[in-house]
Amino acid sequence: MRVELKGEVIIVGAGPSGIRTAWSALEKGFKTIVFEWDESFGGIKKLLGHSVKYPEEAKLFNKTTVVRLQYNPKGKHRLIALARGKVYEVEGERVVVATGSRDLTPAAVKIAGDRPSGIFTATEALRLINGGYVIGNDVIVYGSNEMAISLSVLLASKGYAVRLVAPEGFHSTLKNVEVLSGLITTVLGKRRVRGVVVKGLNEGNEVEEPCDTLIISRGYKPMIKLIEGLKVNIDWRTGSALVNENFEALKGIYLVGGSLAPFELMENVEKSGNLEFDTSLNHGIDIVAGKGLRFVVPQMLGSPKEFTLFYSLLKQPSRLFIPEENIEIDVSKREGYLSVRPSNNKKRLTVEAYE
Amino acid sequence: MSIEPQEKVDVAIIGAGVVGLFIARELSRYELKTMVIEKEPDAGWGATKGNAGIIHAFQLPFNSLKGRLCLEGNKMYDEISKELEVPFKRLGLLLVSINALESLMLPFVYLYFKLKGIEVHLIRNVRKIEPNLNEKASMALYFPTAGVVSVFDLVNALVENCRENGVTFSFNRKVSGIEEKKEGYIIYTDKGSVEASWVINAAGVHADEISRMAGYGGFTIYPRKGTLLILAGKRLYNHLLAEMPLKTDPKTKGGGALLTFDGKMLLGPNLIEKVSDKEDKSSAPGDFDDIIKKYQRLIPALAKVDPLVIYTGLREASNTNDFIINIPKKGFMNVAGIQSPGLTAAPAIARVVVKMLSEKGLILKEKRDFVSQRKKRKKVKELLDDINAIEELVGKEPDYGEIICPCELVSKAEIANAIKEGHNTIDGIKFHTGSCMGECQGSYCLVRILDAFTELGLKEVTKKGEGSWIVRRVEG
Repeated sequence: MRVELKGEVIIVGAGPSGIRTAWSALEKGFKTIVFEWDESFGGIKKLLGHSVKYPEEAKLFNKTTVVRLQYNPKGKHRLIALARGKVYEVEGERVVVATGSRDLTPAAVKIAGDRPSGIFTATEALRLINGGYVIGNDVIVYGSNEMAISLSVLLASKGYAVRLVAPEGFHSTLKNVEVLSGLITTVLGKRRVRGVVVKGLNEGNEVEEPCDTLIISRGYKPMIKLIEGLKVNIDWRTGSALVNENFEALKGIYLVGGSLAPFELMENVEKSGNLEFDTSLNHGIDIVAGKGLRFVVPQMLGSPKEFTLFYSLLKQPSRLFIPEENIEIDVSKREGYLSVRPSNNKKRLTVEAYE
Repeated sequence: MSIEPQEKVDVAIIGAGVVGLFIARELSRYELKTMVIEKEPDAGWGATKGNAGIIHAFQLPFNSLKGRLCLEGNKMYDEISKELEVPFKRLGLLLVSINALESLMLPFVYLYFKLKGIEVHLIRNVRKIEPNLNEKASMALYFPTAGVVSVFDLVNALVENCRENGVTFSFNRKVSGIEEKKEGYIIYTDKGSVEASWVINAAGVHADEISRMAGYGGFTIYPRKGTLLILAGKRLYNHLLAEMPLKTDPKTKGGGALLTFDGKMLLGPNLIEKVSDKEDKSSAPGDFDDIIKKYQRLIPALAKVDPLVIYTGLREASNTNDFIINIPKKGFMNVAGIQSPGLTAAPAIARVVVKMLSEKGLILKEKRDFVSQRKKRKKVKELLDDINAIEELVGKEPDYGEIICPCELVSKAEIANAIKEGHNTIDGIKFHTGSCMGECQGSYCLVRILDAFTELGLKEVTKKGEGSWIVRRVEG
């Protein structure tokens, strides 16, 4: 059955950033439609057991996947979404890509070995556990980001034997989780995982740690399949499209959350969902991620007005500089945002960080 | 103790790799009872799976069996891809010179290939065609007939087409012994025995063991490991790329900066010798940097790209370093040592095999109802530009609308059909439907695939057969 839908804001993805954007859209009085691939809204936040409030006025289509996005520079964009027994033809002035990110794969973090069963990414493991499956007995979680920690604690609370292998050293203690530091270089086992090789951070000595399950939580990549065919420019630092201060990649096509940049912290994923839905396509000022930066978002400004700048640093803690604007501040977290009001005569802002 | 064989066939092929499958298809043109016996749960899990999917333009030395069958096989792929509806593109290979010495050699190499009758062009400013090439790259040889095929689609298509033409498949069945009889052979397996008038040994890395079982020990397989990296992100080149080698290595063409049929960047394979364990498909920690560094010489921007998948295959190289296609004794044929360019040569190998069988007395009576055209299963992904076609499909079968794999856009109907066809492992589903093979590598869809198995009443699902359990279900 074909169903035609029209909205002023179409949001693809009802995870933490998409939901935040839906709230923004409703505040502006826009007729809002949200499509979600999964069975219900909330994304990774819900999988971690946190409560998520969904704005009821935004029409939600669960288990509905947007498979095509046709960009129209002069008017309404068109989307095709599929659900069981249904084909949706959707038209909207503004489209928000909130498809989130995916975890880095074992290969991306250079884990060699065979390809036995029992290797999961963090999100995959969470989905399985929420789906009523037991993923193993003796688990090693590899990573030191927010997700690695939450997941380790969650698994321990469910009775799994959990060790966390932190690639950058980790100094706090976690309840019922043994913490090791090192880099996992190889996974052992041909059929099912039977251990990993952990290389020490300082001496580089290698130790075999037996386990039957390896969960990888070493970072993310934006999922931007939907805009791949469109004429967007990709920033290799974020792995997503270049955006302006409205987080617009093309006129009326916005990116938020994990699909905008590989954010590690939930608060930034959500914060990036606050859209004003302005449009400003004239490309005025470049924002450049300089020394010490992993990425910045946005990467360009249409006009020199106040905007929110998201940053991710290679090391923490750091002192952040924007020399062109004489901004110099201490930042305690590796990833965050600040408000910047650029002066009129600049063509370029460089963001740098020093230890 | 003697047990009557459970099954009797005219031809038993041991090994459901691409070689065994092409032979089976060739035989299925005739009035014969053909069976393929495979130890793995699905087809193509040996050297075939570790392949890069490249259809080579040539193989040196030209006068070797592999050299001749490579050229012949290459020519056959247009028709094969049409008949079997398998994605195949002649992307062309650029053999690039990066330093002065290589550039100096290039015109001579060009003339050599010309003389040998290979279609080749001399490209003067190769960076015009591939702007991301190293700044030092100037000249290149262009081989337009080199291509890339979807190996998984090819394997699936061959199995389907063979089945349609009456070939039977026996998976999860390991051959343990072969006994010569007055007429033919008895093949003993872990699941009963099979009597066959002809046995064709296409057992890949295990071909020497199978041959010895049949009483012929004339060759040894020395597997050579090769690791490949699939990269994430937008592709940086549009042709198959390799650096002009200053010296040819008889053991490897040296890999390349390659592409998969669907445009993903693929680097490798490298070469590791002296593999003692024929099931050892493990990569080494050093492979990542070695492979990326090697091809950064061609495309410097590869430094900024993340690997998505690393995989390792075993080349089934023999002590002769050439293909071994022989009939050492009546009723028993070896098709062994099919190293690179085995995938390219496979259809030509199959023709040679059938011709040899016929010369040795196998009676070939053409079937009147042979179906050469395989009809591809419907994939939602391939219909997305035609909304009317999707509407019709989803209207008829609602599950085509439910997308399980958001990266590769695989529907629940496609997953369920594959399960119903007997692909009962996660790897089997993956290679059959393309799910779990995209950007997220299954992070999103694995749980949904497991649920689909449960819905169809299959509870014990493994990744790739015995011992590779994935999850247990919470009871109650």
